[in-house]
Amino acid sequence: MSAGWWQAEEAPRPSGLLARLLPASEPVDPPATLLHVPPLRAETAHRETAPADLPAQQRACAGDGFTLDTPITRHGLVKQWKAQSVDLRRLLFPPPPAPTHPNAGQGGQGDDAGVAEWLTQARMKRDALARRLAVVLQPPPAALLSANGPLAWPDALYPFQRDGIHVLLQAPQLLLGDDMGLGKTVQAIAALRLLFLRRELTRALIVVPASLIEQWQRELARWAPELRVMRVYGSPHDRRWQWQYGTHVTLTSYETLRADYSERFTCGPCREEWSVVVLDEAQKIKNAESDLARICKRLPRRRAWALTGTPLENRVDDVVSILEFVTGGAVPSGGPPLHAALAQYQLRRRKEDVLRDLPEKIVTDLPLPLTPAQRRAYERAAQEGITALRETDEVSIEQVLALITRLKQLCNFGPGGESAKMDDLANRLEELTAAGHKALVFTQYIGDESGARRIASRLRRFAPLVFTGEQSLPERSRIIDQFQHDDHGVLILSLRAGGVGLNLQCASYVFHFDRWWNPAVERQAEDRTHRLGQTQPVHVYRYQMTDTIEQRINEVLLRKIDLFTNLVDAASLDPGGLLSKGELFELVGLEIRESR
Amino acid sequence: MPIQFHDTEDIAELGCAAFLHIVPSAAHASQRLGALFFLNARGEPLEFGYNRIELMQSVLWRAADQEQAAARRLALTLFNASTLTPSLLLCRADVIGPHLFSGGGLGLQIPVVRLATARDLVGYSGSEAQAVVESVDEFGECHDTYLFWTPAPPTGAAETLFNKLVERYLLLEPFARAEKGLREVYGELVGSPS
Repeated sequence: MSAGWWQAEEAPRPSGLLARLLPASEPVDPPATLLHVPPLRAETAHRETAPADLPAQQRACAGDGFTLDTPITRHGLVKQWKAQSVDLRRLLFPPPPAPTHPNAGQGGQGDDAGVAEWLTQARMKRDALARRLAVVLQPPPAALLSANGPLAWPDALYPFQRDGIHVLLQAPQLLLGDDMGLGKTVQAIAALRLLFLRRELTRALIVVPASLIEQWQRELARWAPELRVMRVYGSPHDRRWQWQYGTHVTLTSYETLRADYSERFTCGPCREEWSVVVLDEAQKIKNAESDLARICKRLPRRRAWALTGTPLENRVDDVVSILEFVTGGAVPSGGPPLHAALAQYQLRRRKEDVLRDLPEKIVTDLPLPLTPAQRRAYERAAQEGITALRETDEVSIEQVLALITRLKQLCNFGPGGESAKMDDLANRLEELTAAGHKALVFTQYIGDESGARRIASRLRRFAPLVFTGEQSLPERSRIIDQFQHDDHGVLILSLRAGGVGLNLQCASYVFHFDRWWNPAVERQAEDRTHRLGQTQPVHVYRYQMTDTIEQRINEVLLRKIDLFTNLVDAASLDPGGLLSKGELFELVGLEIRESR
Repeated sequence: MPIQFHDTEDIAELGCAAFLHIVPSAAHASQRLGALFFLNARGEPLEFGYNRIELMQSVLWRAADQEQAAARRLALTLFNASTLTPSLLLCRADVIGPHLFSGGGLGLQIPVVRLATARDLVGYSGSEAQAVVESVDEFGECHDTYLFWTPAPPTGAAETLFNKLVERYLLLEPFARAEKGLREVYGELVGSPS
């Protein structure tokens, strides 16, 4: 016997009488059954050219490697069986059911139906076995994640990241609540890549804040080059076909998801069940009553991963809402049952526990006095505002917040543009940029009067870049790229737009020009630079004008942070949430009057 | 006229390696389960063949001969069913004896290597060429693997393929995968992981 690469001589056997007594051993299931596992590379399984009848835009995408003629599921499954032998069926499946038709056994219809049914069942079982084999025969995750393993990774993964990826692979429902800067994005992408290689991913949906889409796209290309990504954006017409594309990963923003969500199962995000739905910055769904939270929880999905460094921003309900998405069901609203649910579904590591080599973060409060002109304007505004509020019959939270905002803005810039903060910031930047350092300046305002644009105009000798939510996504992306690679030493960011998701390790100095209500948001902003890849100590400066509302806000927040830190790590505050109405009123020296 | 070239880094050009593995059945002492598992240089599974065989039940055959005859027959059915032509055949020295491919009537036109770790106590044949390679596992630990080649170590693309497998710690790991595959097919017939 022979076949190309092997040949067998007659097996040595006993001779004479023994040969007649001892038949040669035969396999139980001859011939050997066979599974063919298709190669992992997606390109080999698909046609890469676009059909001529597609719109130009779709053809352009198709040219980038999108599959047009083959559903992605075909690639994910093992379809080919070279030896569909009777032996295999006998091995794996029960014998066919006994014929029940009157003509059974005489070649009538009953026989045909029974055999057809048996064959169908056999085929289904065979396919199921093939799918399971295609999964178990893949290299194990530990080997795949290793630097010397079969897969190439652009950077070595930290041990805690490998642990995180293992957990993501094993847990279909997970809240990955690692500290900011520990690489949640990379862990999620690596886990998606391994799921794909294990044939467990046919289509994944990643929902991210709009400002982070470009970054996710870059990281996906870097960490999971096999995955084909479709970004859903643009006009409604474009988005309709983008949702329907058979790619491994569909990437979109929360806003687009909300706009395109439809209960109809023929189009949009509910067209088919997702292998995985990933929510980045999952605190976006902290409000269980919001449309967005409801939509995310209704997405058909086999796995649900929520990524956020601040699962609890304001109150316990935040984390409950996120867990509802993760578990797909009701979650206890507090107490030990909630803790148990968190222990079951949350993986959270803190920087100080897992990244002992990360350069330290040094936070310095910078108390400054207002300039005389600022002080006069501040006192006048405070006096007038409080008097006006006292004369009002029923003071609302909105009125108090408006006064607080006015006072905070005066702490930034007084009449005529005087600003003690600005003078101090300019002096510090002079030194820093001369030494080749880069700095981030965060402010919660963006306007010409007291926000990012005014700061930029006063710092123009440093050629600063400005990053705000007013800019388009491509523009924001270009600005980040310029800051990282060009000679710009200063980047001024609005806290809300620039505080999450960005990787700005090229900077090692952070200034909080004004204070936000929520320390977790400030910490997120600082962690744009204090994260993996940072090689220098990060210096954070927080301006705080003495004898002003900024100082009082700080005191209240510190009290609350202490209380919350003892309850839940990373808890934080916001004006409508953790600060009670009484505390808000107290900031401007008012007492709550009972409404009549 | 096009330029003729040979891309030695191309995975497809390097061909594939076949891992032959046999395990005893946990349920029937006389049964052996076998797998022939094909991988490329990256460790990606390409093909998986499997089968099982009964040992001859006779006191007239020595246990070692029974084992070798079963291994030979099982290997033959697996080779016969495979659609790929490997550049190398790898097996574990503690599972496949030294005489199956050297003098056992199974002639292969590709290099065959039996692998053993420092802990394994294995026999070898004088016709096998011996060598030792060092490879690093996923935890960064170095391990020596002892090689017994029949008829001789590979050359050319097969040698590159073998070196890639060493580099990626893919000499012994695929046997664990093959065993997992057998467990998936035969369930409890395969014992707990070795």
